[in-house]
Amino acid sequence: MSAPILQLEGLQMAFGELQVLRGVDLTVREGESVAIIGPSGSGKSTLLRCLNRLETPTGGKVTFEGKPITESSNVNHLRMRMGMVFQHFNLFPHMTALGNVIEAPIHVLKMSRADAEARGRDLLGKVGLLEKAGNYPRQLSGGQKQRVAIARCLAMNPRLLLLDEITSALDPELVGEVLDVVRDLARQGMTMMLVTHEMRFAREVADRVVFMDGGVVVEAGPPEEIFTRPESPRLQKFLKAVLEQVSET
Amino acid sequence: MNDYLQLLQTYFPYIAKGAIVTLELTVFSLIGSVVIGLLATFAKMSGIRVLGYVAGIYIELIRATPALLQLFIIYFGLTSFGIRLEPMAAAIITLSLVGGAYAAEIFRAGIEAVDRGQFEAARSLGMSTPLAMRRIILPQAGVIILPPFTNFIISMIKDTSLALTISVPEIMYRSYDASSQSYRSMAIYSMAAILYLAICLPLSRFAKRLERRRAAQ
Repeated sequence: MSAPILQLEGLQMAFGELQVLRGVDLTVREGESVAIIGPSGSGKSTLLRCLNRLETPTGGKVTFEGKPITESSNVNHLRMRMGMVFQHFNLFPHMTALGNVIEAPIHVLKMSRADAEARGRDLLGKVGLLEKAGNYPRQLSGGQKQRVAIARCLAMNPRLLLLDEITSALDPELVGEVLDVVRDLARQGMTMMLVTHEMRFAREVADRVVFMDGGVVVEAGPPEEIFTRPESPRLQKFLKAVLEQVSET
Repeated sequence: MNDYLQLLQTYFPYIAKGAIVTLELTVFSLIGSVVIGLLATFAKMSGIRVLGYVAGIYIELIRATPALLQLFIIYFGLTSFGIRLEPMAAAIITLSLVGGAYAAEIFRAGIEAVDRGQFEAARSLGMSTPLAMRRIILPQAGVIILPPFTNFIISMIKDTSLALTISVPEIMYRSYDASSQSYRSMAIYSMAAILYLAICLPLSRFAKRLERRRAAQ
C-alpha cells in the first residue's frame, strides 16, 4: 500500500454559527482516487475548499505531504502542490486557452515562456484541445472550458488534484468528454479527490468512495461495497433517492 | 454677424489658449486621481482596519463637501500654516483629491464586479494576492470600469473650471476676463461652450459606444 499523502483528523469548519464540518477523518494515499458523495449541504465542497485553504478550518488537523497545512507558512506553496478544478471552470476570460494554462507556470513557477508554452501545448493535446490553444474561453463550449481548466491545473504539476463538482454546470451531452479526461488521469495514477453527483462515474473511477452527510463521514469503502452493500440507513436512503432520480430521466 | 466674426478674431485665440491650460489641469489631476484612487481602494480592501478607516474617512469627507470649498481650503486656508501654493498646483492637488475619492469608488465597484471565482482560481494556482490582482483581477476590472471612468474624465474636465476662482488662466477664467473687457457675455461664453463641447463630446460618444458594446456581449 502506498504512503498517505493527505491525512484529515477531526477536521472542523464553521461559518459563524453554522457548523458545516463536524470532525472529518480521512486518509488519501498516493495514486488513489477518492470520490466524495452525499446530499447537498453535507459539506463536500467545503471539505475540498478547506484542504487548499480557500476556507480556513476552524478545528482539527490536516497533514499534506507530512506537513500540517495550517502551519504551512506559505499558503501559495501549498496551493502549488494541490490543484483545484471548479464547478464553474473560472477560466481567465482575458486570456486564450494556452494563456490560461501557461499563466501560473510563468508567473509562479518562473518557467520560461518557451518551456511553459511547450508544456502547455502538450497538456492541451492531452485533453484533446490542441487546436483550440488560441481560442478565448467565450469561444469554447462548457466541456472544452472544463478541460482547459484541468490542463491549467496540471500545468503546475500538482501532487493532489481536487475536483469540485466539475460536471455539475455542464450540459448532459458534454459531461462525457470531461469524465474521459478524469478517467485518463486516474489511470495514470494521479492522486485525486472528487466531489461528484455522477454515481456511475464514482463507481467506475474511484478506488474508494466516501459518503458524507451532516458534516461527517458516514461510510467509506471500495465502490462495490458502498454501492451494492451500503450499511448505514442514511447511505441506503441517499442511494435510493439518487437511483430513483436516474431511472426517472 | 460681421461684428461676431471680429469678436471671434480678437478673443478666440486668447480663450482657446485656456483650453491648453484646461487640458493640462485635467491630465495632471487625472494622474493624481488614479494614484490616490488606487491607494484608497487597496487600503479599503486590504483588510487592515486602520488603513480601511483612513480611506473611508477621506472618501466621506471629500464627497460630503463642495469641491470649491476644498479648493479654497487648499489655496487660501493653508496659507495660515505658511503654505503658499501656486494656483495651478493648488488646483491640481484639489482636483486630484476630489477625483481620487470618486475614482476609488469606481475602482472598488469594478474589482467587486469581477467574479469571485476568478480570484479563487488564481489563488488556487499558487498566485499571491498582489500577483492575482495584477494579472487576473485588474485587467478584467479595467474593462468593466471603462465606461464609468470615461464619464469620470468628462466631469473632471468640467470641474477644472473651478480653478477660475483662484486665477488659473483656463477656459473659464479667460472667457470671464474677455467678457468683462468686451461686455459681450453671450458671444464670449458661447466660444467657451464650443471649446468644452469640442473636448467633451467625443469622449462622451466614446463612453456610449463602450456601454453599448458591453451591453451587446
